[in-house]
Amino acid sequence: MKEWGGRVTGPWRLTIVALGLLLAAGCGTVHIEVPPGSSVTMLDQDQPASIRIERHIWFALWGGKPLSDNSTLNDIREHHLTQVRVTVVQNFWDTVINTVTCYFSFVRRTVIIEGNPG
Amino acid sequence: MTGPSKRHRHRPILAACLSLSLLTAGCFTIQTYAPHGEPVKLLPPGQPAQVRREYRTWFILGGLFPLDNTMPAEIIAQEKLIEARVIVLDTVPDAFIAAALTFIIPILILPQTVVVEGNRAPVDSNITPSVTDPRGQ
Repeated sequence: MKEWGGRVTGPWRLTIVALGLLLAAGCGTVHIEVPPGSSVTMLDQDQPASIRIERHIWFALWGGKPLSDNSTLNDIREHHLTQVRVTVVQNFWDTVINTVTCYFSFVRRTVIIEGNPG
Repeated sequence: MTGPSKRHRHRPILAACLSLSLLTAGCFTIQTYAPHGEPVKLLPPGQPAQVRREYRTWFILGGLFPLDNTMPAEIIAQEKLIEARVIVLDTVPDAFIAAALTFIIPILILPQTVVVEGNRAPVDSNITPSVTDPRGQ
């Protein structure tokens, strides 16, 4: 069997590839919800929004444990939004950063909250 | 001639790991907006919801292109929800599916789980419904 990297051979190579794929996939949950007692409606896809909040959410243990706030609740409360539209995205830079950090169990997502205050 | 140094021996492994991460990490976008028509209120956490729909939306080429492009607005419209909350999840099965598909068919197909919970408009008390919606509750 051919050597790979000097030491790693056939079955081990396959194991490393499989584990690498799993480690790299990562998880993570983002909740799109509002503060209790508030009256917030969803914005249409094309409706204008005066406020735009973009922030990153970090997770440890491949998404198992959120390290930052993974809900939109506090953003909506802080900016007194009564109309919102939320985009959860894993963009190019998230992917580049996750490429390295996922091997230490950290993954990142981006959430964009657009809305209008009441 | 001596063999490659320890540092050089590990380079292919490092390169493979970084390539794999790029392959499976991918990109995706889930947009939560209201469907055309009736206004939809967002639900706070903990408030009961009579409808719960969980589905996977699929992306190809590392998330560059959506395959089905099912956004929560479609589910909200289908279920006629007037109140909703959305959870964007990347589950362990999603990770397994992404890893397995990348391993088998390296065209970077990535799934993303979305949960839509919500309530429909209350039925007018003057009208007695003849059939109970089986999806209710």
